[in-house]
Amino acid sequence: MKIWHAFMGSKVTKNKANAQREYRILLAKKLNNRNFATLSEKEKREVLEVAAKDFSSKFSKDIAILAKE
Amino acid sequence: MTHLEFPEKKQIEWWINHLKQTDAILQLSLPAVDEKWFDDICNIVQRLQFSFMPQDLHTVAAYLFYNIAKRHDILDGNKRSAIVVIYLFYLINGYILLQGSKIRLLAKSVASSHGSRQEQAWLRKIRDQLSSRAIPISNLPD
Repeated sequence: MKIWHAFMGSKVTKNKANAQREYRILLAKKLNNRNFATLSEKEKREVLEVAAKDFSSKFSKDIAILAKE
Repeated sequence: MTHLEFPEKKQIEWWINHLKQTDAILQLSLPAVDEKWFDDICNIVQRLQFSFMPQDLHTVAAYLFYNIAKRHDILDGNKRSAIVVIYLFYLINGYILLQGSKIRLLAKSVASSHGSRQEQAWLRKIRDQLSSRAIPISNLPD
């Protein structure tokens, strides 16, 4: 059972790391070495949309912990 | 010094909306965001934007984080607000923040630190911690 939990735990961590990697690549594509301020309103919203997913994958649990304190 | 971008009220509003739409947990656990919350955050951002301190990204980020987490301008959820805003600040300056749990612990330590006598020491500590956890978005992972 312990081995199964460890295996599943490592799988979740791996999936999360892969997702965060994908978000970062997508953000880099959307920014394309440009300054955020120079993006159009639509592009800014698209960047924030991807970033929200990245934020959620990294900080959701921590924000929930802080909310309970 | 590179030119720094500071989040505008409209961008902060978009950011909060996207976070709430993306994640049900965040929808329930983000700080209570109302007009006063936006005004408080914008006041802190503008104070930093127009101050004369060195315009180095991580130094400004440390001031922003400290001012939101510690100064209690925000009545409820100052630690969560500091994390949400500092992520946005780094994002619009082309950086991405890593390691949520470390940033949460940093916010907790800052919020529970005593008085403002050690403000400079805390600012240095926050700067060090943030700079080691913020990486340029353009540096793509292998």
